[in-house]
Amino acid sequence: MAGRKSRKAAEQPHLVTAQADSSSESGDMLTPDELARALRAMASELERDPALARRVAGAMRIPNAGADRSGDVATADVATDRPVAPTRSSGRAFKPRLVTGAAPALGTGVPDPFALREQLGEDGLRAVLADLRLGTLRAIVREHQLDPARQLAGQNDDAKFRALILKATKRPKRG
Amino acid sequence: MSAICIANNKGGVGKTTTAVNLAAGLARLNQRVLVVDLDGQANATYALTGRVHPVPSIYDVLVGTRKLDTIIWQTNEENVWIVPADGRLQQADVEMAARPGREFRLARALAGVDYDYIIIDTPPSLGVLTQNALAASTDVLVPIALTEFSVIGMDKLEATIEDLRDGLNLPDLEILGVFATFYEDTTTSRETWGLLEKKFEGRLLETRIPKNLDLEKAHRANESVLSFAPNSSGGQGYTHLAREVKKLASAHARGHERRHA
Repeated sequence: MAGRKSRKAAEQPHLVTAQADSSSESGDMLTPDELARALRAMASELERDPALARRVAGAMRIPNAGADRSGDVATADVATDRPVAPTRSSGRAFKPRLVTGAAPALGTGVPDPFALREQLGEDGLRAVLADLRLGTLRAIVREHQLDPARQLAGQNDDAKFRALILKATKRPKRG
Repeated sequence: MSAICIANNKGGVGKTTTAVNLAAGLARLNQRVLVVDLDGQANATYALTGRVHPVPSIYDVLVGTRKLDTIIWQTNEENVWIVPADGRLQQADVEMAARPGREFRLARALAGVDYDYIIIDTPPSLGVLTQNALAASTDVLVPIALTEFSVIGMDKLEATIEDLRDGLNLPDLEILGVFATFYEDTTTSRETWGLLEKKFEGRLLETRIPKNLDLEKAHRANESVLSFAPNSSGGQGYTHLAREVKKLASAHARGHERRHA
């Protein structure tokens, strides 16, 4: 029985959460940390791949739901007293995503690579850095004083900045 | 403190490029600079932070659901901060139309904010957002692309500034300078420069920003050209512009102080 269940899960990876959920009674339930990590990975994939995000959003849509079900806190705050626009025109209206960076973990301003490593692990930090461009990488190095010898001063090679940040954040944060 | 509005109702003349690189140039002169992105395309926000249409933004300040000091971010440039924009600003003209004191919402929000310079990037229109930018500014800086037809439309901007100065009681608002962007060593560039010299006698800045691919590459790298390629022609142009603007803005501020002493 157990063998049949695990083969089914392997064939249908999208059912992993449901499988874990249904096996909770036997002690296989995700820990809160594992669940948070899985959700962050899913959110990151959805941000990276707009087509996937659209497919998921389509699958999650509730039939006849109102146009204001965007889930965006700021938009909802502003729009509460406005009449609901006809579906066709509201589909065209600009709906901002709640974006605080290439990944939500980035927060505002210059990202903190030490916090990101602690939160996401080395692979997570590497994935975040892969999405960032030279200016943000340079700002991270400057703001967190990761290059006191100024070896990267005047350099424009993204890869060197990523490597330095990954290496420097293995040590505890200075100050 | 000087608040400089980068304005021209024409699009594609280099307003955002100027806001980003002038801010970085002034920061390199040991000035603390706040950029306010009032353009719904949010390109200055992207160029300085790498973030795409972040929420909350200046829109939330203008419609009164956020205080400005809660959305000031450190940018990728040292000594430069930003109040970011997002695409909802494109609807702000309509949403703010019926609100009382709509032209002064930004000015009120910026009251008490303490930086050496505030640089305001504006959309390519003369709607309520640009009016807010002008009403919150002490100076206006006008980039003009040295291309055919570039001078057409300037009369309208000047008339708007005059109307605002009289209608909204902003006696100190003035055009700090007009300067050329997309300069190339071509007949069109030289002839247009000649036209500008005649039309804006005494207000045309010395700086000419050349057409330079590094300016575009720097935007893509989410930093100023002064970080990306400081020795490029674009980098040198904006370094020169920052020095010229600082000198003029200081003189204007001193004149203002004398008038109000």
